[in-house]
Amino acid sequence: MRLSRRRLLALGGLTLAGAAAPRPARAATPKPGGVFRFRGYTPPHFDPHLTASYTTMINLSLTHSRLIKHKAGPNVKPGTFEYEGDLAELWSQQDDTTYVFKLRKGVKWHAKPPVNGRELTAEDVKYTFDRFQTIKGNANQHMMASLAKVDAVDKYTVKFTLSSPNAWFLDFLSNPVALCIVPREAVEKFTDLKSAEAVIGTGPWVLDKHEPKVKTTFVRNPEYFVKGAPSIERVEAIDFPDPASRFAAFITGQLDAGPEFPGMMLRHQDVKTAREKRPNLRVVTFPSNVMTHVGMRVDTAPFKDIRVRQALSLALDRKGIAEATLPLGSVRNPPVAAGLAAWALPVEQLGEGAKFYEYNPKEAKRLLKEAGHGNGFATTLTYNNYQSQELIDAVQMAVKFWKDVGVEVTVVEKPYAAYFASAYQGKYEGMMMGPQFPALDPYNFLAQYLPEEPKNQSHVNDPVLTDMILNSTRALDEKKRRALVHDAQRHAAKQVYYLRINSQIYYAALDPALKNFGPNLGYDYGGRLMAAWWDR
Amino acid sequence: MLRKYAFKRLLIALPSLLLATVIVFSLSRLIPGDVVTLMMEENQYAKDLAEMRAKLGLDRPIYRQYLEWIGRAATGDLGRSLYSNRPITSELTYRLPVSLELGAVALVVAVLLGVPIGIVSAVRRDTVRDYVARSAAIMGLAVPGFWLGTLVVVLPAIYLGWSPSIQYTAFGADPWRHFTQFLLPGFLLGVASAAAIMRLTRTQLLEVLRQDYVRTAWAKGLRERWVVLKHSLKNALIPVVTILGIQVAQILSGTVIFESIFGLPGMGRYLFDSITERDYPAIQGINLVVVTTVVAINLLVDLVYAWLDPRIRY
Repeated sequence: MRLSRRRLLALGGLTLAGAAAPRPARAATPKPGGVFRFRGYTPPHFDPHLTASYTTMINLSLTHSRLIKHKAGPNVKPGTFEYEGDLAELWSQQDDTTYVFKLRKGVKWHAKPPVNGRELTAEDVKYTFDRFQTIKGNANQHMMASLAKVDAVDKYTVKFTLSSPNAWFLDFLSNPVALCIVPREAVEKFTDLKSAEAVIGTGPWVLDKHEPKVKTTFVRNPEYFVKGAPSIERVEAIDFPDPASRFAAFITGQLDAGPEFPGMMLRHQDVKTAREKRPNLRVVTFPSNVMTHVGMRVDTAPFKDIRVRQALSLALDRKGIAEATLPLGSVRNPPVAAGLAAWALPVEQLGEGAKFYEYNPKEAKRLLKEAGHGNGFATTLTYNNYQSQELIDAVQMAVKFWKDVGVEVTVVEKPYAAYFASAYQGKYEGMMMGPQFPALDPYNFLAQYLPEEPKNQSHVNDPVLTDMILNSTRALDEKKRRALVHDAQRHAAKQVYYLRINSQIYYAALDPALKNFGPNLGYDYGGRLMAAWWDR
Repeated sequence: MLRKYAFKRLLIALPSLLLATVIVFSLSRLIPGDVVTLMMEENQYAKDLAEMRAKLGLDRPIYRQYLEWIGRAATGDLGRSLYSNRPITSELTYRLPVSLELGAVALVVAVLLGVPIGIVSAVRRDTVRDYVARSAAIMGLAVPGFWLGTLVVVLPAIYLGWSPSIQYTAFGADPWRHFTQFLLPGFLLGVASAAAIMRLTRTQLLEVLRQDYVRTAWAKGLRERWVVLKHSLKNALIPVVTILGIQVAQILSGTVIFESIFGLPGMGRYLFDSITERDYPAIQGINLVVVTTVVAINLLVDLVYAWLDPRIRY
C-alpha cells in the first residue's frame, strides 16, 4: 500500500491520539472521598472569553474540559506539557492546516439549568470557538489567530481549518487558558458566562457554592466521563489575602497544598519552617517559567551596538544577584525560560552566546571602550517593583554592577498600571526590567524577538532570527522544530537582545497523604487533581 | 430641651455629610487624567477610552455627575463594581455587617480594657500599677496593628501548631463559631483604642479627683469606691465618650488590615481589594458608607454627651 504524506500524517496523529486517551495513571487503588483545600482566588467573573485573569482559569480548570489537555500525574516531569485527549478521544492532522477531532460519546454537561445534563456534541465545540474568536473583549484571541474556521462534521466530529500552518496549534489548544468548551444555552440564558450560575462544564467537579472573597466549593461530578474519576469528593478553594496568615494556615494543616501562586508553592523563606512543622511534607522542586529580563532599545544608540549589549550582560553578576535574592536556588535562563524543560536549551549549550552569561567586568569594560564608550554612558531603566523585594534588590544590584563598568543607570519606577501600559509594551527609553508572562510554550518567549509583536520589548528586528522563529512555527515535525527552536535560542543569545536574569526554583508543597498528584507549571489545577486521591 | 438640641445637632450633621459626599466624589476625579487610560489598558474594563469614560460617567458635566451620583446614592444605588460588575450596594449589604461586628467587638474590648485600667491608674497614681498600665498604653498606641496581628497569627502556628481558622463562617451556618471568629481580631483591633481611652480616662479622672466636691466627699468619710465610681467617674467619662466617636473612625480604618489578616470578608477588605483593582466606583461607594457611618456615630455621641451632662447645650 502506498502511503501519501497526508495519510501518513493522519495515521500518525490517530496513533498518537489513541495512546493519549486520558487514563489516569494510578499508583495504587484509589480511595474515593475526602476534601482537598487549597488557596483559591475570587475571579472578577467566570467568563473565560471575557478575561485573561488566571483567577478565572484556575476555577474553570476544575469544572470545564478542553478538547485536549496536558498530561498530569506524579510521573510527569514538571515543565513538560505532553498532551492527551480530554473531550477528544482521537484526533488527526489531515494536512498542514486541517485537524480533525473525534469527540467522546456520552459526555454530559453538569446537571444544572438551562443545560440540565444534556450530551455534549460537536456543535458545542464549534459554538465555543466561534464565540472565542468573535466576542469583543477577549484578550486571548491571539491564541487562535491562525484558526480560519471550525466545522461540526457530524455529532461527534469537529474539523479545524487554519489559515496557515501553525506547529504550536495543539499546544495552544491544550493550554488551560480560555479554551474550555462552554454551552450555548448558558450564554443565551445569562447573556454571558460571568455569573457563578453560568459555570456549567463537563469537568470533574461541579461548582457548588461561590462566596466571593471567602471560598468557592466544588463537588464531585458523578457523571464525569472518565470512569471512577475524580476520587476527591469536594474541593474547597479558600480565598485568603494575607501571605503570613496563609502560611500559618498551611503549617497548621488548614490547607493541603502550598499557598503561593502559581501551582501550590511555598515562598523560599518559608520552606525551612514548613518542613520542620510538617515533617512528612511532600516537596517537589522545579524551575519557574516566570523569567525576569532586561530589555533594551536595540533600535537606538547605544544599544544598537552589539558590543554595548554584550558588555552590559558581562557586567551583570547573575550568580551574585541570585544568591542574594533567591536563597534556595535559581536557574539560568536561555531565551526560552528554563522552566520549559522540553524546549529551553541549557545555557552551557548556547554556544558563543553562553559566555555572555558569565560575570566578567574586565571584558565588559574592554567591549565598551571598543564601542566608543570608554568613559561609560548614562541611561535610564524603567521598572515596576511588583511588590517584590526580590525584584527591587535585583534591580539595585544590577544598577550597581553596571556602575562598576562606567554605565550610570537612573532607575525610573512606575506604578504597575503605568509600567504595564508603557515599558511592558515596549514604550520606554533606554532599558526596562521586569518579569515576563509565564507561557507554557516556547513560541510566546520567541515572539519577543519578532518585529510587530507587542511582546518585542527590545524592538528586535533581526531578519535571520525572524526566519528561524517563523520556520519553527511551520515545522510540524517536532524533532525538526526542536532543532530550529534551539538554533533560534543560540542566535538570540549571541546577539544579546535581552539580558535574562535567573528564575527561582519553585518549591511545590503537598500533604503526603495526597496520592497520584504531580505539581507542574500553569493554571491547570483541576487537570492535575483529577486523578489524585487521599490515602488517610 | 434635649429634643431641640438633638435637632440642632442633626442640622449641623447634614451639611457635614453633604460636604463629605463632595470630598468623596471629588477625590476620585482629582486623580491624574491618564488613570482612566491605565484602568482600561490594565484591566480591560472597556473596549476603548470613550466607553471607559462613559462607564465612569466622566463624559458629562461634573455637577451633573455629582447630582446623579448623590441622587442614586440617596436611593441606595451606589452603581456597579467595574471589577466584578456586581451592584456595590449588594456587596456592601453583605460586607458591612461583618465590619460592624468586628468594630463592635473592638469597641467593647477598648472600653472594657481602657476604662478600668484608666481608673486604677488614676486612683493608684505613681505606683507600680500605674507605671505598668501607662507603659502598656504607650505600647498599645505605638505597636502597629498589622505587626501585632501577624505575630498573633504566625507565632502560635510555629510554636503551638495552632492558628485561627482561615475559613469564614457565616452566622446562619454556625452562630457560635461566627461570633468567636471575631474575638481575636476584635481584641487586637481594640487594643490601640483601649490605650487611647485608658490614657484619657486616667487624665480626666485625675482632674476630677482634684475638684472641691470630691474633696468634700472624702471629708465626709465616704468609701473610695463610692467616691471614685459614684462621684467622679461620670464626670470624668464625658470626654471619654467624645473620644469613642473618634475611635470608631479609627477602628473602621483598622478593619482594612485586620480583615485581610484574618480573612474576614468585610468592608475593609473590600476597600483594600477595590484599591488594588482600581475599582473607583466601589472605592467611592465604600468611602461614602464609611463617612456616613462616622458622621452618624458622632451625632449619636453628641446626643449621649448631652444626656450625660445636662449642662451641655450649644
